[in-house]
Order: sequence, then structure tokens, then C-alpha cells
Amino acid sequence: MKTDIDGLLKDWSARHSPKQEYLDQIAGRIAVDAARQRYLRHSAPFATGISLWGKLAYGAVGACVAVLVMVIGVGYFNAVVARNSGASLAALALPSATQRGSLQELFAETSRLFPNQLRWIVQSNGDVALGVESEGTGQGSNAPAMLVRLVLVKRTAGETTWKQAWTTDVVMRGEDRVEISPNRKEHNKLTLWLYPLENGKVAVDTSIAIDQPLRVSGRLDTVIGIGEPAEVAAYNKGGDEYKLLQTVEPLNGKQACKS
Amino acid sequence: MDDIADEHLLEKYADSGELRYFDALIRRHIGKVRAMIYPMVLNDADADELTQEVFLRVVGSIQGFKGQSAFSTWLYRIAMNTTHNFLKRRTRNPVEHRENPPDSPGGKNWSPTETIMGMESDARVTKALESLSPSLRAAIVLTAIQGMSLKEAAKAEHCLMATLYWRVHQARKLLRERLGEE
Repeated sequence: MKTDIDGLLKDWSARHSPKQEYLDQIAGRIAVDAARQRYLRHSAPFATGISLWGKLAYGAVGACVAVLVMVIGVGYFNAVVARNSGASLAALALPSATQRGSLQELFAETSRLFPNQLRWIVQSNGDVALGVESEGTGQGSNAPAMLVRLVLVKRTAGETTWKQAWTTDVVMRGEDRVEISPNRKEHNKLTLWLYPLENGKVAVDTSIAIDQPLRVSGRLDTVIGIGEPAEVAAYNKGGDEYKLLQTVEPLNGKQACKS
Repeated sequence: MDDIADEHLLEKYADSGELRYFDALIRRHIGKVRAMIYPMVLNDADADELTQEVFLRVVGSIQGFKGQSAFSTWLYRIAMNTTHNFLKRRTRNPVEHRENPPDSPGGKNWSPTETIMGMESDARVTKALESLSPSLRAAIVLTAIQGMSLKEAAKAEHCLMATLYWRVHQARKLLRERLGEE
């Protein structure tokens, strides 16, 4: 009797065919990665950020001692950037129209793909991660999406111009609380909670822990004007100055910077 | 979305960037793509990773799709290329063979008897497939398991039909020897 090769192979294949739910999970991961790829292609300005960050990160690794800077007296620093430091610093703190447009598109697309499941999007120096609940629990806020930008700017000793050293954009909903790992590094932690106030301002609780390009760790409770970049912390390391800037604005609203 | 042709979905996705079109394409083809890859790599983790890689390659090379062939032909060729490249890498940098975990994502619920018989048969077939070269394995997977015609399989493998025919013939002969004539 001849062995039924085709029959054996087909039975074998049936045993190794995954369940539909399993395939759906893979399909979901592919869609998220495709969204990320497309977003990265359409946000060319971030590409330069990657190489700049890479150089700075490399330099930071080479440094023997990293200085732990605790954020102290945050209220003192919580001043509108444009008023104190000039429009150029404000420009560094605000996302460009292209960057905002790309995030709007990504948020709209992924919200449509994962209805009631998308919690947040984080873009950190060229890397994008999406926070998607496994099931739409409906526990997240339905408030309009906001764009929170945190920028660490650096001015090398003897120079007058500030440069972006680290940037993280988070799209989240007001009254929501998100915990994320910027650059998808486990030791990087960023917790954000937003509460829009009636006077055109927004209360932001921020807990941050990053180690490159500068080790920054601390908690910030700020009230800032929507669309007004605020300097929330300042540091000095080896003669180089750093400032941590924060901006909150509606994802789909007009740029509200008054500077 | 079900009544929209693959090529039209791809075009809509390329033009608008709206993920729902690409998502529909993924869900339409993911089962077959993974079923083509799994018998080639013979473990779930690699099959899952390569399946993802195939669809991301599609995204990255949408402009390369000229519509001269069906989307599925183009997709299956990408799938087989990606898999062959992976197997070459694995040959150059061999790692310990990854066995499937006990909770691997099998689709059908089997009775205990079926399971025991199936496990024995499974191991024999897996071993026999593993013993074939990638090109012979691909030929038998595409035709016997996927039910492709020689012409379709030859397109996916980017070879002449005569070559594919010979490979199928050789693969069957070897499998018969290894699975044992009764």
C-alpha cells in the first residue's frame, strides 16, 4: 500500500494551524507596526532627532559619572518659556505642523482600528509605541485627545543656542493617566495625568525617570497654559545647561502658543 | 470591505494610508501566509515573526507592486523569499532548534486517541519535512499542503514550472522513503 503523502501532510498542517484568535493577535501586531512604519516615514523631522540623540547618547555612555538630578523647587521653574527665554526656545518646545499632523493621522487611524482600545501614543526620538488595551474596557477617558510634549534642551558651555537633546510626544486623553516607557526602555518611566481647567490652563502631574542623555528623575505638578511651552526644570552638568520644557495642546486644535 | 478586490484594497491603502484597508488585506491572507511559512521553519515563534515580517515588507515595497500579477501571487513570492532568506541566515548562524511550547496554537480540538496518534504521526512528518532541503520542502508545501497549481507554486518560488515539477517529484520520493512504504 502506498503512503498517502498528501493526506499525511494535510493532517499534519491542520494540527499546526493556529486558531483564528491567535491569527487575529498577530494581525493586530502587524497593523500596529505598519502604522508605526508609516508614521516614521511621514515624520522626517524626527529622523535628524534620532541621529542627534544617538550621538548624545553615545557621549553620555562614555561619561564616567552620570549625575542624578532631582527636580527641586519645580514651581520656580514653571514659567512660560517664551517670556523668559526667547521665541527660539519656545520653538524647540512646540511640535511642528508636520509632526502634529503625523500624530493626528496616526491617532485617528489607530483609534479607528482599535475602537475604545487605544489609550495613548508615545513618540520618543524617532521611536513610536502605541498603548492598546487588549479589550475595549471603556474605562479610559473620552475627553478630547491632547498632545503633551516634553523636551530636554541643551546648551553647551560657551554657546548661545539651545538644541533639542531628547523629545517625547505623548498623545493621550484629558483626565486619563498613562504610564509609559519612552524609547521602550524598561528603566525609562514616564507617568502623566492631565486635567483641563476652566481657565484655559491644564493641570499636569508628571513623574519622569530617564537616564540618557541626562539622568533626570523626579515628580512635577504643574499648571500650564494650553499651547504655552513652560520651563519645568533646569539642570547643570559639567558646565552644560539643560532645561526641561513641557507643552500641552489639543491634538486637533489650532496651535495656541501666544508667544 | 469583503467585496473589494485585494489589488483595490492595496491601492486604497497606498493612496490614503488608512490602515483599515491594509488590515483587511492582512486578515484575508494571514492564515495562508503563516500556513506556508510554518512547514518551512517548523516552529511557531519563527513562523509568527516571519509572518509579521512579510506583511511589513509589503508595506515597505507597495510602490514595487505594479499590478502585473495578482496581489496574492506577489504576496506569496515575498513570503517565500523572506522564508528562504531566514533559512539561509539560520544555516549560517545555527541556533538550538526551538521546539514548540506545549501550548502551541493548534487549531483543532482533538480527542485523546486522536492526540496520541497525531503526536506520533506529527513527529514523523516533522522529521521527514525537516530532512528535505528548503527548495524541495517549499515545492511540496506549496503544492500538497497549500493546494497551489504547479504554475502558481513556480511563481511563488520564482522558478520554471519544469524545475518545480522535478522538485515536487523528488520531495514526494524522499518523503515516501522517510515516512515508510507500508
